[in-house]
Amino acid sequence: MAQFPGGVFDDGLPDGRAAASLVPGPEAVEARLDSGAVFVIGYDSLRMEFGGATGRMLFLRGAEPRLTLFSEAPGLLEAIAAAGGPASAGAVAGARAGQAQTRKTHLRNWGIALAVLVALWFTVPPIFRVMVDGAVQQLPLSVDVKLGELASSEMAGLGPAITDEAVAGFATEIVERLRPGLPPEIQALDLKVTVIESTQVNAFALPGGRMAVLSGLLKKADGVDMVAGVMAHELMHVRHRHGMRHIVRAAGVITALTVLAGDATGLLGIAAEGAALAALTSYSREMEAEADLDGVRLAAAAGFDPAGMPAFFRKLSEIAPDSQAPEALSWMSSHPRHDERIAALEAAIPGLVRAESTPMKHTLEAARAALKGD
Amino acid sequence: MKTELLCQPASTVARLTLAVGESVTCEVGAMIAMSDGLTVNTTSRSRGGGGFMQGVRRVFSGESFFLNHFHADRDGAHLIIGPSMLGDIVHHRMSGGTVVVQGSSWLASGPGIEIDTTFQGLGKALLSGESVFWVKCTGQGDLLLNSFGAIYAMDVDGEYVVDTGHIVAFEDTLSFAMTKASESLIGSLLGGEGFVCRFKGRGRLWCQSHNPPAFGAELGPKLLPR
Repeated sequence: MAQFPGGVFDDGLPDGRAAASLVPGPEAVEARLDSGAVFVIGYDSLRMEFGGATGRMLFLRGAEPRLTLFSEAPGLLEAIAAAGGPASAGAVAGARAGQAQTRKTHLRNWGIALAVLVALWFTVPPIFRVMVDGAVQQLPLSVDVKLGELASSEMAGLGPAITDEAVAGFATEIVERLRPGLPPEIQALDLKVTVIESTQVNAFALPGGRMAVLSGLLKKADGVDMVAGVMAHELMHVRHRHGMRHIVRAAGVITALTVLAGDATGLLGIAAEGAALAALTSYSREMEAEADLDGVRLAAAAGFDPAGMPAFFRKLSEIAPDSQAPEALSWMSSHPRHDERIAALEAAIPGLVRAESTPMKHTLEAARAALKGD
Repeated sequence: MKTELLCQPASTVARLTLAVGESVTCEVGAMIAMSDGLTVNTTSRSRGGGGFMQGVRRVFSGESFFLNHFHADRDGAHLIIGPSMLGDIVHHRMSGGTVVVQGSSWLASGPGIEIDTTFQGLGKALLSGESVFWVKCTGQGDLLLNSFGAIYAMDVDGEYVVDTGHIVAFEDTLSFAMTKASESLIGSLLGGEGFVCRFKGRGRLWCQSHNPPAFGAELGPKLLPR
C-alpha cells in the first residue's frame, strides 16, 4: 500500500503532534508513527480539506474532534479515492469542491482588488485637485508673499545679481508690459525681477511674485519675444499660485499616504512612495501646461510674438536634449517633454489675438552687450 | 548538540556544544566565537543537496547565499553564535514537518534540517511587509530562530491575528491570509494597523515584539545627516 509522509495532531501526543506516514486502506486512512502507534480515521466519518501555508496540504478529520491527520505529499487524495472507492467518494468530492471554492475566492479577491485600484486611479486625483484648489483659495495672497520671501534667500545662492540698467531695465520693462494682462490682485503684488549671472538658460518665479532671470537665458535667446515668452510663463505660475498648490498638494499626499499605508512596508511601502512621486510630478506637468497656455496668451496680449515661447522650447531641446527623460519615462519627469509642449502651444497660437507691438526702450542687444563675457 | 541561550532576552547569543562528528549549519556572519576542535566549511548547499540555485533563492528571502557548516573534531567543542540585530533567540526541536521562517530570522539548524525557500504569493508579499520569499526548514533536529526584540511562541488552534512585520516563523500546517484589522476598512486604516496576518489551522507560531521596518522608520528621521 502506498505511504505518504505527513503528520498527526492529537492531544494525547507529547507536544500535541508527531510525524507519521499516512496509508490509505480499503476502509480507513491510517497514520503510522515511528513509535509504532497508529491513528485511524474511517471513511464513514472522513472529512477532508486543503489548507496550510501553501494551500496544498490535505487535512483529514473524522468523528474524533481532536484528531487530525495531514500531509502535503502529492497524490494522497487520488490514493484515498482509489483505495476507498465508493466509501471515500463523498469525502474526496468534498475536498475537491473546497479546493475549487478557494480558487474561486482567490480569483474574486484579485478581481475586486484590481477594480478598486482602477477606480481609485481615476477618481482620487480629480477629487484631490478640487480639494487642494479649494484650500488654496482660502489662503490670502499674503501667505504666498511670505513663502516667496522665505525662499528668496536661496535665490542669492545662484549667483550675483546684475544691476546694470541695460540688463535689469530690460527684464523689468518686459514684466511691466506683461503686468496689465494680469488680474488686479496679482498686479498689486511686488512683481520684482532680478537678473542673476549664471550660465544656466532658465528663469523662475517664487510665490508672491518675485522672479529671477538667469543671464544664460538672455545670452541664448534669439529675440525679445523668446525672453518675454519665458517670463510670461513664470508670471502665470505666480498668478495661478502654483507654488502654494504644490505645497498644499504635497502635504496632502504625504498625510493621506501616512494615514492609508500606516506602517506598510515591503512592496506596498515602495508602491506608496512611487504613488507619491507620480502624484506630485503629474501635478507639476499640469501646472506647467497651464502656465504655458496662459503665458502665451499673456505675451500676445502685451504685444509680444506668441511664437517666442515654442521657439524657446525648441532652442532648449537643442541646448539640453538630455535634460529630459526618455520618451517612455516622460510621465516621471516633472516637466512635460519639449515636443509635447511645443505641439500644445502651436495648436493654441492661431487662436490668439496679438496686441499692437511697440518698440522696447531697453533692447535685448543692449542687455547682452552689458553682460560679462558676451 | 547541546544548546544554551545566554544573555537573554535583549542581546541573546546561543552557545552550541557539539560531540565529535556532529555538525551544525549557521547563517553567514552568525559566529561570534568558537573553541578549537571545529572545522568550518562554507558552501551554498544545505544538507548535501541544492547548491547554486538554492543559494540564489535564499538571497531573495533575505538570507545569505552561503552557509557556514561547523563540524566538531572532538567532544565538547563549542561555538557561540548571535544574530546581527538586537533581540532574542528561540531553540525549537523539530520532529518532522516544515517550519516557514521569515527572511533573516533563520539563525542555525542541525544537519537533519533542509533549508530552502518558499513563495507566499504576490498578495501577501505586497501587504505583509515581509520578504517575497520565506525560508522553509524541513526535517528533524535543532532549529534556532532569531527575532528583533523579544520572541514568543503561540500554539494556534483555530484563528490568530498578528500584525504585519511581527511574524518570525510558523509551522506549515497553519495557513495565513492578509485581512483588515477590524470590520471596516476605514477603521483598520485609521487605527494604524492597516492589514494584519490572520492565521488559521493548528500549529505553532513564533512572533517578535518589534517590527524592524517600523523601528527604522521611527529612528531614521531622528538621525543627523552625515
